[in-house]
Amino acid sequence: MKKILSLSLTLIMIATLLLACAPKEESKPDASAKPDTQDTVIVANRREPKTLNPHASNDTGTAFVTQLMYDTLITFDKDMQFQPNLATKWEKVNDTLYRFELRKDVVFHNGDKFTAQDVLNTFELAGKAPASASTLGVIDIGASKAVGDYTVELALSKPYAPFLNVMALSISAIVNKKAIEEAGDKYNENPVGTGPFSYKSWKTGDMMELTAFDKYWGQKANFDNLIIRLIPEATTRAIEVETGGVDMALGIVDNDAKKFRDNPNVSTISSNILNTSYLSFNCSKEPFNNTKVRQAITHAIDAATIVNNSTFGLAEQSFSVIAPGVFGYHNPGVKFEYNVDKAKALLTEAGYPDGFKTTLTVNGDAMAAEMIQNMLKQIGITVEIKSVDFANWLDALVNGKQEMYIGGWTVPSADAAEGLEAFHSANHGSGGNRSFYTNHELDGILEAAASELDSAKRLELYKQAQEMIANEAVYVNFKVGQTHVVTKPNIENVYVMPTQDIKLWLLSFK
Amino acid sequence: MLTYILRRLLMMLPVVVGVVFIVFAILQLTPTDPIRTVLGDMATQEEVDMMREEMGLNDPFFTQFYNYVKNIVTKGDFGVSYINRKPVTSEIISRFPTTLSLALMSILLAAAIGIPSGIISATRQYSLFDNGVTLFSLISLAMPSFWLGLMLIIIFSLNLRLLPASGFYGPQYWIMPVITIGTGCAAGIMRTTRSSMLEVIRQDYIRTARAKGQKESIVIRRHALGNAIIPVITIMGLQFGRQLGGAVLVETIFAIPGLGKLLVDATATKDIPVIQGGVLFMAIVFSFINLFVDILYGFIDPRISTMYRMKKAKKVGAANE
Repeated sequence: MKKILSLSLTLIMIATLLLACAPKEESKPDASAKPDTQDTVIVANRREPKTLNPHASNDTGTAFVTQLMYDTLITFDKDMQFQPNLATKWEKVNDTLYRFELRKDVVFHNGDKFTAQDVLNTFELAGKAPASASTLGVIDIGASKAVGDYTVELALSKPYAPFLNVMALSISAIVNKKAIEEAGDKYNENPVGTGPFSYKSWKTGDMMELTAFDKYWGQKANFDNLIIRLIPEATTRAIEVETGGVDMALGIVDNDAKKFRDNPNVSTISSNILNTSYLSFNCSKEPFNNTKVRQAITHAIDAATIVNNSTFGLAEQSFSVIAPGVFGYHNPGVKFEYNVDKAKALLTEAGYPDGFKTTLTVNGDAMAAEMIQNMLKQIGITVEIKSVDFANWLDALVNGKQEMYIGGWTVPSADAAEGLEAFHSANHGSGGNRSFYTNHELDGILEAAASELDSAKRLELYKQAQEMIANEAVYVNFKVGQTHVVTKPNIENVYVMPTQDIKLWLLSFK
Repeated sequence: MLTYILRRLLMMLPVVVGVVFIVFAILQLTPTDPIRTVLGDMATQEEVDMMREEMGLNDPFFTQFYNYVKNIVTKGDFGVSYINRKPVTSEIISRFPTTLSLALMSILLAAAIGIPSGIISATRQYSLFDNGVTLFSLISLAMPSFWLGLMLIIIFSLNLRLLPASGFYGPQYWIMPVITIGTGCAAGIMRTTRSSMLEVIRQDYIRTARAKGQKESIVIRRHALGNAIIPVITIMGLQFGRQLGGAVLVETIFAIPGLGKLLVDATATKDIPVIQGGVLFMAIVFSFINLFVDILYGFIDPRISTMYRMKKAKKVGAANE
């Protein structure tokens, strides 16, 4: 009897524990509402934001959400042309002064009216935040001023050609200083912007809920609630769209995207982004400090096949270190075509007739790494693949521990000034020059371009830089970055900007 | 028994302190810069240095350790995540119930499958059932949990549209993750139950009970199982503790916001406060599970509870002399 009682009590206790610990049914997102009455859109993403303060981080997970909750002074359209946003007009007064006329009908999510002072406050805070200081530190806040409530003049500490590009990025989003200071460490639970969506709740590791802001100055969303679910596994994300568990899934992998294109139950949107991927070298280490070795390796690698196989035929091959769509992009053509005999001859000329042993540091990219290993074996180079996690990959590249590596380069500002500065010899390692490449002639070109404000002259200088980088075989270019989004077929007006933003408030239903 | 429990609780303190120090030291000694990882590869060295200074990461090792322990002891503050600046305690506490319920349900399912099949396998050794269950357990142990999880999603979510593919929002969401984890655990419990039962049913007292004409079901349930269950309880305790910190693959595939995923993500991004807080939390939880299992031994096996009491009696006796 005693044992039965003990067993019964134990079972009751366990059942109570389970019921108490399990999440409530009501918190389950439901994507099954009929299209014409849909008031909630559920989006599955592979990364969640690190923060809801746009100046505290510029990773893609954060930027995706902050561009929904905040506005910038100007914005890009689909064709990467500037459009008015919080600023209705802007002019370049001189090389270090810009004037913006602001909208008068904007309110923050907490009801505060948006004025020119908020712009100054924003860039004062941004200039001190670790994630934004280097990008926005060019603004001389002491010399900047508000002219009335709806005009602001931003002064720069030096001429900076891509300044307007930077103003359109999510890192330049306008914030409410009072809200940030009052909330302190709890700002992530109380973010305040002027954007089309306001914050409702965030269960980290699970989902974030946003609500359409009814006092938004611009085009209001066609639905009331936006739920962003974190689903890290790509296959699960894809299945959730197919089964109707979510309305949209981001970051679909290439082989799933290829299958979805033939699936009438979903719509697939593939867009190029401002990113390229490549194989590169540590040019400060032997034998990669020898240009002929790098050129020989470039001859030995069939980049087109690697791109085609690793992306299932979906991605475009890239021919420069920066993506098309970046101001200053130039295609120098293929300098060292795939030719194993030429590769062997060049390697012999460089003093390595029997090849050599080396390592290839990668984070992911398993298929590409193995193909490179096989291709270089043909010319006598034995490659050991070191597949490491992101932290160790980054540590290796920043500290020059790598020999060869597969990397990617994104130019969020869409301007070659930021894309090519990484090749300057002053920027080895943490500055962005992960290849530790040194070429003083290239340094001179980049320095001239950095202080040049005339667009045509800048384009010519960046063309020279890209030609030189191509001739020196610093990179073996692989692909232009691409992202795939899959939606339910009743959804339209969704497109992915080259900056990877998705203006979800423009989404509509068929 | 109470004295035994108090003694065990006190013994936890040096264990916990030791774990904190070892984890702290290992994380400080690893070569990667956590702030560089947090800010990403596009961050400049100035930005990294600024954040390191802000977070006190340039202080000497023992200063950082002292401040960390002081904050825990005086304020219960385990620090904030480098990634999202949320308090570590709230991150862990928000995820622990999910992981706990997942682990508990999985272990219960595993026990419900494993113990009866282990008993039947042992009593019908080399039968078709025994061979079948042995085969099943070997396949389950060899099968990667992430593969099983994905197969379940493809079959039951995509093809049959019976169950949701991800999340942990209610009973229908629990089914596939629990089966995924429970299957692997069931195999281990089944094998242990079978081998333990086989050892016990060969004992003299079982032969005596049968010779006395006792019903076979009572022989197994009352005489054999009680003696055979101790190793099974041990295995279940270990599996439960492992699931609490390690169901990361299942949590990733089914998008379950659990503790395992939190710890692995924190390790990949070197989010040191979360790693330290999480490991410390797991050390405490595991210690409590071990204590609970040891107490359970006492309830199941009177010889063990007598031993606990005898230790106390010996001490009292020695004191009186």
